[in-house]
Amino acid sequence: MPAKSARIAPAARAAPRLPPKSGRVILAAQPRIPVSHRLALLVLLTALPLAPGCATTNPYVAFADAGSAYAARLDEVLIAAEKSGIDATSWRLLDSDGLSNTTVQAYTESSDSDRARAAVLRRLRHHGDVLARYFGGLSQLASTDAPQRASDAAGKAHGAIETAWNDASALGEGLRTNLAFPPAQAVTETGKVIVGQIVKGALRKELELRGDLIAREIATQEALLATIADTVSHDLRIGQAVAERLLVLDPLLADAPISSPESWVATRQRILTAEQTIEEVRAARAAARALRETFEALASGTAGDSK
Amino acid sequence: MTPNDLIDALRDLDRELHSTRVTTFYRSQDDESRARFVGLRGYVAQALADALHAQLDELATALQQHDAELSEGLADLKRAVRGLNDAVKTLNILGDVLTALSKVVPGVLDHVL
Repeated sequence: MPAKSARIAPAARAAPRLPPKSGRVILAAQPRIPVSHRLALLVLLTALPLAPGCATTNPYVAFADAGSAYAARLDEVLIAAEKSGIDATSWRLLDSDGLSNTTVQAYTESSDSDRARAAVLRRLRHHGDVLARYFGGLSQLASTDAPQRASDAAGKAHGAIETAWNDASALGEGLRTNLAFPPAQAVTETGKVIVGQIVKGALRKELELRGDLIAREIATQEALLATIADTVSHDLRIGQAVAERLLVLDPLLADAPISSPESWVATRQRILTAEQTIEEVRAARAAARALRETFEALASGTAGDSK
Repeated sequence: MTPNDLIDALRDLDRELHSTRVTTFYRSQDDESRARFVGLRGYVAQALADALHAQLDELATALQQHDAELSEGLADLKRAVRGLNDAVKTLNILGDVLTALSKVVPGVLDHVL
């Protein structure tokens, strides 16, 4: 079977991983902050006067922080997704080897598939990084308030965000058209961004020019995370099934008695109680939501002035 | 069938083919059937990987063109895997589904034919 091109999905012949022993995994993504609290936070952010350069409660700063936090969480989830894919491949190989002796070619193809998947994940990580860089540039643009240096600073910020935006949008376009994830539907239904009256100057220009596109990039990231969650969950489920068969059922059905009953019991408990998604996915999805919300707050200015 | 429907169907099939029920059944078959099962099961995972990496618009168009053949094949396969009465017949149906998949998911053709 010939080697395949790069992909994010489970490797061809390979398979899943044994879920972690700890309770760090969860069944479904849950918001980190209760909805009522998040709404309160959003209202607080949108109600703040947009004084450039003010402290950390400033929506510009909040947005830049959310961008950095998101990039960090995305990094973690992509690393976790890479590991879950490799583990899934390992389980698939072991399972298949029990049916028909694995060949060097089959093993090599599986490993190539894992490497290809890692390359795709690196591309996704790069997209998250350049988006964060762009968001940081937007924040700079908004805080260029010193009259004498405003022009220079705005110029530098413009240059930085221009480069970052070009990188981010090119990568985002690739994600939307070259991969069946994130689903196109999810990234074409972003609403029109209305820039609040209180947003002035260079930031206003930037948001009027690219606000809708920024919203689409953020939506792309949210949809991307949903797909990664599904992929990781699929890897874990197959890993769980194979692990139960190889580590629990086969020893039990063998003629020889279980050599270490306590270990067998512990293994069975660990496999059967394992969750089917990972903490990193939940954290990244929460960070993506926070990013979208802070962007909305930034674009709308104060709550009262937003349309 | 939409691209997302296809991906869901392939994930379900991939999990089913790795279930204890199906794997245990094929463990009791002859060498040839076991080897064929392992190979075809690998192609299913590969098809899933390819579908996730396909050009969305091309995949959607191809799915529209081959929807009937693919849907019918997947339904037949689901019944065969559920019943699991005939190891060879089930593998033949699986092979037919992969052939149909090769028309909609670029890359699978290289593996199956």
